[in-house]
Amino acid sequence: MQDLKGLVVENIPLTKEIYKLQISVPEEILPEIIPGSFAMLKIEAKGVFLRRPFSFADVDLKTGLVTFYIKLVGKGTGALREIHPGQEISMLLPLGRGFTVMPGKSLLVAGGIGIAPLNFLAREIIKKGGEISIIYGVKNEAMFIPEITKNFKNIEVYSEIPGPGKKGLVLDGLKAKDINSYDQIYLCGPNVMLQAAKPYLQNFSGLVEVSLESYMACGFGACLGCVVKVFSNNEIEYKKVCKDGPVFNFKEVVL
Amino acid sequence: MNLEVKIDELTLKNPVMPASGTFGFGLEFKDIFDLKNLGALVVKTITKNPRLGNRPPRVYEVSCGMINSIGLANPGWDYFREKILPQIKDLNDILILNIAGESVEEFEYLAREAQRFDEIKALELNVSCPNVSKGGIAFGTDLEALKQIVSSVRKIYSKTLIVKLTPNVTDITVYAKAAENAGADALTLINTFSGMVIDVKSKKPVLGNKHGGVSGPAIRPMAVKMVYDCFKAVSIPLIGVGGIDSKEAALEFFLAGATAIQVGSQNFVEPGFMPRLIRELGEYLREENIEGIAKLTGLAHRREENV
Repeated sequence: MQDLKGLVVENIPLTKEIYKLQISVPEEILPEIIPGSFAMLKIEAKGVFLRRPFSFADVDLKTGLVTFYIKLVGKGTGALREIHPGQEISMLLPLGRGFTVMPGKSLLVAGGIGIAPLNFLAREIIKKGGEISIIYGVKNEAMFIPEITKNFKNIEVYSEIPGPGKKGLVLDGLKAKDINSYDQIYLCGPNVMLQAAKPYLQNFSGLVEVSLESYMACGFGACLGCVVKVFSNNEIEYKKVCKDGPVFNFKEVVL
Repeated sequence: MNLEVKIDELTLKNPVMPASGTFGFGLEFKDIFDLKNLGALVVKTITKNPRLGNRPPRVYEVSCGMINSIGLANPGWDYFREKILPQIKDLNDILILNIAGESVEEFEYLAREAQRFDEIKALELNVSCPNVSKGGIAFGTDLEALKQIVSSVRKIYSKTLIVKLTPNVTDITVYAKAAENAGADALTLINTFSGMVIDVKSKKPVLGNKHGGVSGPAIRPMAVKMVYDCFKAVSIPLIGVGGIDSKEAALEFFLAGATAIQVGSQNFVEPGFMPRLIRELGEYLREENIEGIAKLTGLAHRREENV
């Protein structure tokens, strides 16, 4: 982990609810940033005290840019939307345990802004010669990032309210797939999506990994605020989303 | 310029240390700075038995601060002694063990254990955690229980004994005096304020434990006043804590009567804050031509008398 200053290069709205923030960071940190890892960004705004965690949605080794897709949620993400190109931003990075990139066929299942880390993961898998299919479910047009679908060939979009892609839920996409034709599955999305997907994936024999989100104060394992219940080795434990995760074995997570 | 301060028989090379529970066991901060720079290392509360802690969500932001209900999650004394203590004993010369118990006997057990380890230089008794159902704040708001715990530990523990008080009482000076009379060598003022946040969308408390402890700059004025009041009430050294996020904030505590200070929530926001603060306090003394930080302690009171 390093505490460093990045330079905002671009901050543009993609939809009513999502914006894309690109930050130039020192070159030497780039190789340490892996899919699933995240940064804690310091937002200089009235009343905002804690940093906010965001997963990397992409890293470009050539330009030195990191990309975040950010959903407008509250005070912090509202203030961050106003940051201008040319402004400096304090970042703690890279944080957390990322995805295990495996060879073969991977199925990526994203719900809403959960697409962010999976975009980065998909690129990394392809770079390493693996094959990917993506199920990308959104609530409505405002949650849909069009540029994602331009990045990948094998992507199916589902929308809860008629909008982009087919009408339906992520779960409909999962049911339509022969999941056993994949070697591993990766997920990121809201809890309701994860809960719905869980029974379908319980008997899948390959690796299933999930990236979780949580309120956190520090992001590096000190506050113990971001824990999630995990069942492993016949024991229930609280694990830190920030340090033991955010990527966990999906079968072990108690949702 | 001299940043050295004395707490009982301990000499700290500077007055800055982490507040228990905001710094883990120090290991998470090792990449950011050399922990030897700190005046002392205060570890997260250890209990006799391991504790899972409270159900999440456990932290949430409030205006100019945060609220937490971690619930003293920790691996327990045995694990700490075997696995953690060897890793952290050389991180700083002055290691302060913060302990909590569900009963007087548990405090006594931990004090007896701590007494055996030379690398533990002081004990800080947590009788002020608002997030546990047994012990914690219940001891710190019950004068008789507080006296009993402090005097029982005092009989067992011969090194420096610090008591960390809760602000959730009508008059903290009563508790400060009681702790002093029961044998405390120093007081840490203060732990978090009991509080609650309600999610208006779900119409339910945000925290899994429903309520928690508020910390950060939001509580600083109350913390400064409690240090100010206790400085007049007791003669043992005070360690001030509550929303220190700048040199100026730290100076307020010294002027109110603190001999040393602890940094809490700000460690989460800026993990390298404490070494910066130590540097800035040194610069301040030089610029102001003050011979030592100890000269500042309680200065706001002397000004008051002059008026």
